[in-house]
Amino acid sequence: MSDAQAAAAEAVVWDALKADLWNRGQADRVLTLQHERRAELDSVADEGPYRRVRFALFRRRCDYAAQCNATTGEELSWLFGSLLRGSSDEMDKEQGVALAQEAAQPPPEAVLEQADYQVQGGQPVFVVRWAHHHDGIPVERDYIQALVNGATRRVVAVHRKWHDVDPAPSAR
Amino acid sequence: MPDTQALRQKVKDDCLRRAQALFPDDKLVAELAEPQSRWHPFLLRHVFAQSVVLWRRAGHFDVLVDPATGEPVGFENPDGWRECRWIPLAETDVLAMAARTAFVDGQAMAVASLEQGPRGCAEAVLQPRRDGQGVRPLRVRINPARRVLISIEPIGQGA
Repeated sequence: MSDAQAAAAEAVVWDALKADLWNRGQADRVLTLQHERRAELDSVADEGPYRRVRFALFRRRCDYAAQCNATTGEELSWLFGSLLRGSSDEMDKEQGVALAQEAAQPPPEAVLEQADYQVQGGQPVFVVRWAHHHDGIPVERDYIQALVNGATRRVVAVHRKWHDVDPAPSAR
Repeated sequence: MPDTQALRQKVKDDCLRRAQALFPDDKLVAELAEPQSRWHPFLLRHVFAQSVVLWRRAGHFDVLVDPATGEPVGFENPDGWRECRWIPLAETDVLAMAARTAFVDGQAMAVASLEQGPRGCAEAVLQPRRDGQGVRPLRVRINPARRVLISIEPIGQGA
């Protein structure tokens, strides 16, 4: 099957799915259909008088973004942005801290600084933040932060800025 | 220093591991966008940023193609059968619904028959309004409860 034939067949998939949206009175969703769905050529088989071209269909589950230190590969942050939607303040704080702790794995030098709901994007999000203390002295700018959706009890983001303190005097 | 490909793979693996823990029943596929690399003025690090779209497998869709010409002649959407239940539909309604696809010209075709089909679907035969147009009759199946097209396929000897 040529690329042009595969493209023509895929156009049928979108054509039919758009028709369904129109038929169900959901024409406003036509514009975002190809943002929400994905079709991938799966198999081609001759069947009777026809060739059956099968497309695997996918629905957008969620988006994810991550940042790493480009030099060392160390992970700096990860976020399932769309999973913050629908967050509420119904989860108790102990559970929120436990979930955040499991996901963020703060090292022994981490000191719990904040564990409370914050309004983000108009909804309450449970924020857990640890500061870095080395021998009792705060390490400026270092922190670990986790965001928990209070309705789904899912940890949806962890941000980490952390470094190992070298107490030896530097050349400066 | 890890190369871009290694960083992309690491992000993809971490993303899928976390997402699979959140959605254990889903069959997930990760689609990676073009990565970005920049100096971060607050982190004081050279930062590699990668965004990902996670897709979950949700069935399939079959397109029927004429092997001689490579042209699509119909389709079958198995998801159309979901919650299928018989509700009488008007012929005009059936024709209008089918005519929203490229296979049916609402002006050139007419409903020759409309009855309850398998599993409660509405099954219609559409025929050209005038003879000799070289247009073959079509069988159209619709899920009346959800108002979705289940299939459109040519009737008669194949393509």
